[in-house]
Amino acid sequence: MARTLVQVHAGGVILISTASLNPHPPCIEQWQELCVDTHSYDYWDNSGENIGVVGAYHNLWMTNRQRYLGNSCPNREDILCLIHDDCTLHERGWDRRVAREFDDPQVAIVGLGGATGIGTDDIYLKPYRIEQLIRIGYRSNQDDWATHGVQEKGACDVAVVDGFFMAVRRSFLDKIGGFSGFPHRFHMYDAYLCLQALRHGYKVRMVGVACHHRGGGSSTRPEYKADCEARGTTMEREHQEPHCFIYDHFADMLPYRI
Amino acid sequence: MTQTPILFVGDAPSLKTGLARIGRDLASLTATLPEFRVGYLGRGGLGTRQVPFACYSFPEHEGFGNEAILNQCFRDFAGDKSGIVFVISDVSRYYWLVSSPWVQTMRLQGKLKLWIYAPVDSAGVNGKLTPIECDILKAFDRVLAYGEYGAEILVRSMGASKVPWLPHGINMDVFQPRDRQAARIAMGYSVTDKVMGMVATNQARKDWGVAIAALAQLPGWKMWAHIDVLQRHWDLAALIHDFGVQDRIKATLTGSMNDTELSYFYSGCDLTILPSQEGFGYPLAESLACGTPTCHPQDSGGRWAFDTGGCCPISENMARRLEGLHHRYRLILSPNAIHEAMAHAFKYDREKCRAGIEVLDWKRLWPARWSKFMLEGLS
Repeated sequence: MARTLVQVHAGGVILISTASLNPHPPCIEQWQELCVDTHSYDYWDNSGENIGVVGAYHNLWMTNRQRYLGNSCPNREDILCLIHDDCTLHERGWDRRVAREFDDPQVAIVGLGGATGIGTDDIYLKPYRIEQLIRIGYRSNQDDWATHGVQEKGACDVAVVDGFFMAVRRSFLDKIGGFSGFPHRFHMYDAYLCLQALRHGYKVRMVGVACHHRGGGSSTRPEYKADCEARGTTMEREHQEPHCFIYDHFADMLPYRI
Repeated sequence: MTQTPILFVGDAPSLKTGLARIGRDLASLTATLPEFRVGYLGRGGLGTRQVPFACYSFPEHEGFGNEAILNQCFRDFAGDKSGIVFVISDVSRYYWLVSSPWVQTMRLQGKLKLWIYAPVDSAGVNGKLTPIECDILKAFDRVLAYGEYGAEILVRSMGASKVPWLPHGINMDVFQPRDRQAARIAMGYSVTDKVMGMVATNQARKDWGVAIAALAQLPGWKMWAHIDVLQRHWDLAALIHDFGVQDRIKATLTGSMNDTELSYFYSGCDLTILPSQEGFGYPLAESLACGTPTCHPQDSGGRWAFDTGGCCPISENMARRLEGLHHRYRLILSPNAIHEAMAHAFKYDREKCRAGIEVLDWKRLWPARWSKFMLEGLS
């Protein structure tokens, strides 16, 4: 399996990371061009053996952690930016806007789109339905923000962010063992991480950086269907089971409202 | 940590009524929260040390309580501390509480909060409770309904925008599907018999008359009837004799068996019926948890059970009439409507019945919803 670790820069705050089925995704350059500061970046190639988004993100965290442990500046704080390869950023200085949110030590996760609530009022009062895990009050500055909710150009506290962009405080990931507590490949990993952050007393924020997330690029393709079948499952189960996991494991948190 | 005294008020926890069970369960679970110190003022029964909270009692001939009893009990239990009185009972019984000068003084001083978990089994004129019940409700600091049905009626009654609701939970380790053969032996029936069950107290709103009539018109069926007393509103022995079903019915009394034994009887039934209007309908939950489908009228607080996929509505065009001191609309059911519902319920998947009720498992319901409700009341 090919991995490309291009650069590690000791002065950076953010580690820009992605995982992709494309062995040479152009997205990293696009993101870097709009950065004001210089940051390291890392990438997990899922084009060979596809370990899923969650597996890739977990491995990116582990690699970063090992590098950090060997670092000569042990007090440096890393922020892992986990970004989908179909996300396009439009705003120069996005890195600084995101990094600034982490000046508050309570902030664990920053996204570019987030919901102020998750879970319906009748969750755990009526028999389980997947709709009970709905996100409420979604806000973003995505190109198609009106499709998803309301426009937010500023920043605010949220309950959960959309996983297409998640900047995560590395020490928080260290505390919870990365993604080791989430046994699924793709859906609901964003909800998992955010609810874990809230459970541990952290805050989750969104910033209204102008951006576009194409979405559905992987999870609707015939290759994904074939991949599911090869692993003895179906697209429907891959969608259902992570929702059931969140329902079962976060009863103490849901429904959550900011 | 400072503990807030909370005094539950209702049927004594040692009694076998539904309200007693609800009060006992909630008080026991609240006692696991370190933020509370729990006491219970129970009507009827005797004080007991078999529960994890302080027990006070008063005899049934004192009615549903009075100011003197509550004053004495609260002082003994809470001392000078501010606390909560949490009523687990019918609204209509507590005019004395909200009109008590002592209670009003304590509330004005900020030393007492009143909560109520109000069972609402039906509505009266204009879909509301009576005016006096509405006044009683408005005096409570927190009003909690058993389900959406009750919440809707309370919203209309109180003129509120919203009334929260929480269902009562069930211990699914006790109420679970049991071996059918063993269950039938315990019931005295064979595995080839078709058996319907009914678990209900002897009250006007629990229609034992239509239930026995329905059995009489189904010669191939047998019945298990679980009741608190044979003679009160209904004379069950006379009903059984008049309909000529003596050799097809087995009656057991509340208190004659524990919950585990009860779960065997539920498991041994092909289905249960509950032709009554309920605030919640605990026998519905018990039946479903044991994997046994059930039937229940649509216009009742037990309608939550339809969401489980294990409860068939009794839904022939139902007549209604106003009845009783509190002017409630009561359904008039027919045996035919029950037969129709039974025909559907008989084919329901027994595994789905239990799966549909898992949301009420106390192991999840308490931490997920109830404990949050209790703790939110402290802020």
